[in-house]
Amino acid sequence: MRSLLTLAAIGFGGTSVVLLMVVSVVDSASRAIGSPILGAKEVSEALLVLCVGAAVPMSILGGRSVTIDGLVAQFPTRVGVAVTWAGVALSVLAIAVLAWRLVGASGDARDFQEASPLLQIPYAPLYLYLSCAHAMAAVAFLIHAFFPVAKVEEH
Amino acid sequence: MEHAFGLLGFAVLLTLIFLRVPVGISMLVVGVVGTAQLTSLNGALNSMTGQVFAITTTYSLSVLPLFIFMGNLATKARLSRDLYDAAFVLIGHVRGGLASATVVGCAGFAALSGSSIASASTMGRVSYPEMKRRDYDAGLATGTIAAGGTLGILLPPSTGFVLYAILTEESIGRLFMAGIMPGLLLTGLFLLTISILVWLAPEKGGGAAVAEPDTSKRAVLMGAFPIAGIILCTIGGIYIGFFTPVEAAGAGAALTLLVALLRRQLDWRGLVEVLSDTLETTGLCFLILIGAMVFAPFVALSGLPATVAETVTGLSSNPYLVMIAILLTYAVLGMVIEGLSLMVITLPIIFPVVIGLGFDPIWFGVIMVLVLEMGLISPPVGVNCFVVKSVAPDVPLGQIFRGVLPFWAAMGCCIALLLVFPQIALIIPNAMFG
Repeated sequence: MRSLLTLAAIGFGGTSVVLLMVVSVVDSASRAIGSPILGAKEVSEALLVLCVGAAVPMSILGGRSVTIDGLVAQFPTRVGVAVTWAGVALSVLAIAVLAWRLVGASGDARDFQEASPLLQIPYAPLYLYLSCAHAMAAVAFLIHAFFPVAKVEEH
Repeated sequence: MEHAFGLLGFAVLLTLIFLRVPVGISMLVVGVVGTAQLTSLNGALNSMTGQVFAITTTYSLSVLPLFIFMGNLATKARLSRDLYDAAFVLIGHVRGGLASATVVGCAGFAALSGSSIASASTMGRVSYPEMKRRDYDAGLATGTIAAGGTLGILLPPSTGFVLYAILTEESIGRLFMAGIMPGLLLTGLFLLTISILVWLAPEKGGGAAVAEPDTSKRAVLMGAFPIAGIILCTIGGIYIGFFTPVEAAGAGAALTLLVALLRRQLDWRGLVEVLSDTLETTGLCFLILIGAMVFAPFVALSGLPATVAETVTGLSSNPYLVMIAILLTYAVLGMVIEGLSLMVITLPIIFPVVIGLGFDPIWFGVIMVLVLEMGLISPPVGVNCFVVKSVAPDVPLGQIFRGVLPFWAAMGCCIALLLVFPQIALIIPNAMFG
């Protein structure tokens, strides 16, 4: 499950980062020669959504969420474990609620035909993608809680 | 009444954070529950989804993944080694020169990577073995790396400036430019600190002056040429107005990718690793940002910023005294709360106070990032010191923390100079943007 999530996230997110780079370079180059790309900014925004949607579950899976451990580390072991699991439950619940509300927002965006001004990129699929991404993030919290990874420095 | 509720929300937020709930999630939960209490549950939930969509479609935030990608590529392509070698050739031959070369290398790497941790980790791996081999004092060696790493968040591109700009609706480009002079000043102060330490205790700076490396000076300096080109292109491009920060990030990432490919230091597997690390760091930043953007409306609705502004400005008629009190509070809080988290938690309350006192928001951004940098090397959560510990496992943590003390004082001097001469930070952005 972890490797499947990671693979999907790198596929979507990695491609979007590379495309984001290409779009910004091509846009600035074409602007320099006097013919800027119409709607490059809107494409970048859509790519950013793809990137963030992949990045959030990735960072949770990789144990990169910022937490402050000092106080809990001082608790007796059992209390520390209970507090940690309560934190995981709260995190899963919060992210799941966010995912659920984003599905609703996607429906609203579809009903009202919300889209970007120039290229008319529809917002409904983007909301839906974000919803799926946050559902994955909730799953990622659980995976990380049950099977934590020791982060290996890659530098 | 509402502001009391705001205070309660703030207390709950801190409790959750100290109970190991991720910072972004803590802000998200308190933001939604607090807004629901002050308005309605449906309104709060709608506001949450709106904020999440708004933040993930904010064009200017594209700089985050792009600059993080660029920094990771630079690490993978071993550009840090070239930077260190070039600095070594220039100043490595004097006593304490390896430590000075580390600081200069860190400053150069900071211009490629917006992360302090990446700067400390990357440069530490290159420079610590060399300093150990030359019998440098372990405290000086590790202190130099930990402190040098903090330049990563001050010299542009900087993730700290991007977050500050988004939260306060200031210009990212202006903040990047404002970081240049203080970054160079701090580099100079770090070099001065090393000189003084080695002058007071020559044995700290290694057994003897270090001979120049075998490779010719010219070849080593030429090795750093591509890096200088990338820095010139990105930061210079923003300065002359050719690039917006997003375009500069894209161009910088593309050039770094090109350099890595031309040097055959990046294969398919390496690229996947770089992208994976880029996504993890981007996700970390966005999770905090999402939480901050949901938390901010609650703080505003509670009226807490106005109350705090009223109280703080009533403390003294001298805005500088108030500012010093704010900075001291940040320095203390920075010892227990991670820097970027501290920034996003407190900015909705402190920023209106600072503006009310008549301070320049760009100048305050620089000062704030500097104070947060001090937290990066302060016990007990001085992240950079832990990073250095991972590259220098033989040095006790206490010795690392003692080693960074002189550099901590140097940062204090830099902040004092910025307080007295705000133009240090504002001269470049004012010259550019008026």
